[in-house]
Amino acid sequence: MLSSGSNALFPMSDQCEYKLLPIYAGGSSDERVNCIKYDPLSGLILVGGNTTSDNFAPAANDHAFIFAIDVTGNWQWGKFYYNVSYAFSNVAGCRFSSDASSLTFQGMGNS
Amino acid sequence: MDLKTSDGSINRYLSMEYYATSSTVVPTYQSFGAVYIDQSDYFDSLSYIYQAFIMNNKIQLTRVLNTANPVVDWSFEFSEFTATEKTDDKWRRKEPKFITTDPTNPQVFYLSGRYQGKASVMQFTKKQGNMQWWTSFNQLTYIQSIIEVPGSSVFYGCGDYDVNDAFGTAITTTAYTAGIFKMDNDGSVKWFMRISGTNPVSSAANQDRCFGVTIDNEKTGKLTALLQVKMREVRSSTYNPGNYYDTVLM
Repeated sequence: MLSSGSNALFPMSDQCEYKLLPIYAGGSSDERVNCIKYDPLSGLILVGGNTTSDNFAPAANDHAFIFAIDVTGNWQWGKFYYNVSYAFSNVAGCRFSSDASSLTFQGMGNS
Repeated sequence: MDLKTSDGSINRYLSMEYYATSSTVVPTYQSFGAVYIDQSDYFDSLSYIYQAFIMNNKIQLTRVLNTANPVVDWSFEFSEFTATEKTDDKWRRKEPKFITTDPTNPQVFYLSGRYQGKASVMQFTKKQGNMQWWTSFNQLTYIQSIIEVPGSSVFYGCGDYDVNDAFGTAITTTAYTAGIFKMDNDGSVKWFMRISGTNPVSSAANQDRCFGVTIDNEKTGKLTALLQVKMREVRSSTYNPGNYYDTVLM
């Protein structure tokens, strides 16, 4: 599970502390975001992508990540995915279902 | 993978693989985000998962029954019009990126992205996957964003035109112009707007791109686009901008 610790999510700088956003999440290597959606039903902003940061994900190889924050930037939940259980190493995109009750992600598992 | 947004719990996980995969037959796959779950089909009220991806450099478009035991309802493979592949053949470049719907016609859906080297939008029937029309853009290479308008047959999209489209050229150095379009559900392009300017560093490429488009109300006609630009024409001269992107909401 992602945590809301120092590697995961905190204000970008003092200059931004009086603003709601921007915030950032990630580690010392690359994070690539391919999905960002606001869900009016849950009131959350969902973000999905790929990371290779071993101080963000459990290891320095391709992991998919999805996390949710509320509209004021407060951490709600976050998850990593790799090549076990739910083989998913990259979020390539996303779309709400027809009744907007859920969010569907498409991506790849590691070969 | 379908999630409940409030807590991230998984409603459905679906993994697709070529039926004849073996230790010696190992297809390569690419995905770009083209997925959509229709919770209640207009014809039989069942739930279906629509998605498109690339397998062995061919687009695969599928509809899968969304149950605990998923069944492929139909699938199509996009064949190339020639088997002769040239070096850096731009006609083979493709990105099935978005599946969207028509709020005024529940019988169809759209697949958009890149096909045969050009930004493309295609309309298909849901029931059988028949292509109704295909529109491609000569001055747009990638579609980065596409939106439906509630209650309307029109939709909007935006993206980038890779001017030289040189295979392997670094994204940091190649020239781009941004483009925004409005289309109707008959495949006609209502308008196309090209957005470009001049890089303040004359030796560097002009690079203006569009990554998002949205509309709050079709009747107000207010469209918002998210651009990444280097054009000096819209950037403040007070801080002497250089050869780097600034983000612009237009």
